[in-house]
Amino acid sequence: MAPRSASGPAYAKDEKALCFHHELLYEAKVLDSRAVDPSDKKTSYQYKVHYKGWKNTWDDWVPEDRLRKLTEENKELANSLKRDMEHYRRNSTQHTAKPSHKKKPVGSDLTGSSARGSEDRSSVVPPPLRGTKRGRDHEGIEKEEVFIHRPAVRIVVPDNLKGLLVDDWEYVTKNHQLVHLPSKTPVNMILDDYSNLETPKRRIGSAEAEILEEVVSGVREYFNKSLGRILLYKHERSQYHDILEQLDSGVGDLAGQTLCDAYGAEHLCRLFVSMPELIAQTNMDSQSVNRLREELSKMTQWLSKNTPKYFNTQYENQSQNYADSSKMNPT
Amino acid sequence: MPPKKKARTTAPTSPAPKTPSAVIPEPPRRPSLADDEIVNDPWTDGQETGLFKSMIRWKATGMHKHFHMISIAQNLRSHGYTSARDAHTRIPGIWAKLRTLYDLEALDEREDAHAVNEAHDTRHPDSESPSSTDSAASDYDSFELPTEEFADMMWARRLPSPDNSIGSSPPAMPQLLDPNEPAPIPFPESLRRSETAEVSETPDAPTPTRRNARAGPRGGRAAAAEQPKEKGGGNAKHRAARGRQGSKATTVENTTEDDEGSEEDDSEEESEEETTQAPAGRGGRGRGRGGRGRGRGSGAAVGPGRRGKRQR
Repeated sequence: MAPRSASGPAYAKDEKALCFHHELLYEAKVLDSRAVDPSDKKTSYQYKVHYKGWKNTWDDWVPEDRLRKLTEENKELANSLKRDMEHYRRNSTQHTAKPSHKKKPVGSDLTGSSARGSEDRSSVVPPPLRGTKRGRDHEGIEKEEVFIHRPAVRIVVPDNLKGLLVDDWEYVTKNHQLVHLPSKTPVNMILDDYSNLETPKRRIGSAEAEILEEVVSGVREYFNKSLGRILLYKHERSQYHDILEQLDSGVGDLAGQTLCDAYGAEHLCRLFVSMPELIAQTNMDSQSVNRLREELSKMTQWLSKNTPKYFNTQYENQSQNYADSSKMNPT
Repeated sequence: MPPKKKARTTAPTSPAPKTPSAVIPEPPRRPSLADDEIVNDPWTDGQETGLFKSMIRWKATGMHKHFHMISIAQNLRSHGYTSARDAHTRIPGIWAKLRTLYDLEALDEREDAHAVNEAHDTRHPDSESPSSTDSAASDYDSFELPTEEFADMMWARRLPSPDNSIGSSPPAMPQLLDPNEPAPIPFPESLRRSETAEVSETPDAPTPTRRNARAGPRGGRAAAAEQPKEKGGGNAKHRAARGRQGSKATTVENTTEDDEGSEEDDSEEESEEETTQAPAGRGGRGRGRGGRGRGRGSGAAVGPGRRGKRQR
């Protein structure tokens, strides 16, 4: 395979090319290249590309099969793919064939793990773009089918929280920044505040009051148990292990506390969008699920009205590339 | 002897079972009862039966215990085991009852340990293990925002804000840089399957990556063409032809079109957005393109052509 490899990289530094991102081709510039396996003479190459007109935080290492020479023919391929995308998009929305992709559909690239996507692909021999992509799609499809049979536990996430989640995603995965920890307004404080505010609205000893208490406890439990497993971007792992050490250490502010005392609203919001997936693992009856969804939606509504108080987090730079830390502006 | 709890596989939980004792409302008592407690226990046999039955379905330990408790209480109530008047059968009462029967904290610990082991056993072969040597490091999935709801918002972030978007050189294909474009969506699954098969079929074809990869997305084109005909007109037919009969003409015609300059493409993109329901004009145009292009063939379309034939 990799026929060109013997003669070195097929794309030169600064060469303009077209690069697949997702389903489509975009104009790109090759910034750098590297051998996947330097010890192998027949190694394939990866290229660092900058997508023309995009932020350079989206620059990415891609395997050769995602690149195309900038020929007239390939330019037209890019154009026609784009047309087809528009065409298909229209048709699929008309038929309400909106796929209920939960996690990791094809969009993995888009969701910030583009670098990982490339690694995945290049680790497969030979790495035709579609081969591995299809493989992952199948995963996605199967998951999807499983989900169809579960009661939908869709929690209303208000738009401003969605915006904050996307900010968070960009800071962490594109700018390679981290939330400053421990949070000044940790999850425990947020949940206590909500509970203190909401409890008086419910009759003491009533089922409503008890369910509130149970839901708040449940969120706390979910947060502690799932944070390390599904709520972190890859880049945040080492910070997480630092925090775990502090929690276990027996000294310092975090000694003997829980993850709910260290992490704040940013990660709590990630839990809210992951909640359907977690609840789908239970076999709760639909009436209880509805009740739970109501409660959780209420909680997210409240949080969205109080973002200035709870989303005051500084994002910190981890690398030298960024001179100034940027601040997350609550909206 | 308390009834044995049925072991049920639960979702794997956190790799670091840092048990938050705060979740348990009161410090657990040992499951030993003083005699008077047994005598004074307000739970009737029927209620206990209902509770045990419910617990078979919803385990009151592990990560989901609080949400399960909502189901347990709901179940007891809806099956008439308990009524609103019985304070002892409301949720705090149920927890209190369970604490007299079980060492809930120990069961939680066991549950967590079990979940971690399970996660170890079933972890993805491709889950990333970064530099960390910590064994727990492989038990996680990287967080991803759900594509369905967030893809467009994330996609919009790829472009810099207008004030610092001045590039070093103008793009050769400005039509690919539409700031209002929604995120690309996956082309249809059916095609993906057939393509996968195809790849494995021709593993030794010369320069497979270039051609296959190229063929891949084009598969999507055929699918788009095969969507019901309401897009109608010559355009749909035209597309179908491109998808099914191989793409020699496609590439050729495409080349020509591109030669005519990207401005035209630009306007076409726009008009496509706007004239969703008016395909007639485009159809004519599409055919025209094909005609123009036909003379300019080169061998370059071999890959997609094969793609077209092999499609199943």
